Amino acid sequence: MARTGQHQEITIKLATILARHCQNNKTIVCKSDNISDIFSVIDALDKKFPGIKSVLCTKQHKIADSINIYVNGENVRYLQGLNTILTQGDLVNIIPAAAAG
Amino acid sequence: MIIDRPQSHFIFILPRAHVYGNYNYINYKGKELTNNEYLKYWGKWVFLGTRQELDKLAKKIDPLVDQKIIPGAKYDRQEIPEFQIGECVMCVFCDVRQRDEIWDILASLGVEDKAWVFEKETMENWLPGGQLLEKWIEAKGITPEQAESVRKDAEERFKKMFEDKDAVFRGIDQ
Repeated sequence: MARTGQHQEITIKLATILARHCQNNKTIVCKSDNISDIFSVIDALDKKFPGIKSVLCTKQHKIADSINIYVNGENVRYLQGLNTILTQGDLVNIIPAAAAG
Repeated sequence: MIIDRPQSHFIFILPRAHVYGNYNYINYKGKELTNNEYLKYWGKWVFLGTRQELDKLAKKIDPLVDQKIIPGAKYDRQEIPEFQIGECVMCVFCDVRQRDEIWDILASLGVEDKAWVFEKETMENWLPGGQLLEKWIEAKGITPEQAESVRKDAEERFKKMFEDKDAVFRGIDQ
């Protein structure tokens, strides 16, 4: 659930192949009162760039196998996945999972 | 030194002492890692870029690798079409216990993408059922029998490589 009343600024960096779904923006700064975790940041992205959520997540609201998401360098699969809490100034990197090979 | 052998998919940046001497770049504070420690601690900062961008960065990293400040690195000679990444990948290797220090150096060289990957995670991706091995098999369009043989080889190679958990890790042929 999104916390309210806390203004967050989160930087999202997308690999080139994923940036294509966001009008080729490789760096997107999300500023919102409603960003509390990865799920909410993806929701915010999808409002701005409809369709990106279906690239990053499955219909079951899980991170797609083909995608890795990092918060300040840590793979969120080893944290709380889409429920990983974000705090002011966090850096979110989203890359194809194959890049980790 | 930058090792650019056309027959290899990867371009490596390794200390001269590793290539020509007895030094093993896979170490922590000068102590070589055992197979067990390798799986527990060794990993890499991963970031993407064009070949030109990574060539430029490699030249900046190279002297730091020769001075043994950064353990080592490798990057793609060209994109791997099977994986549809759309860019080349650079991996800068180090022990997790020194990753913050290495990250600070990379950031000072202009690296912005921050993604830490343990080698264990990469290896699991290349084992039977692992995402990369299965993707590779699918992209190659080989027969089910050939695919099974590839899986079996991958499993046996991994098992053999790590069967003695206390032996010094000697690296992987690439």
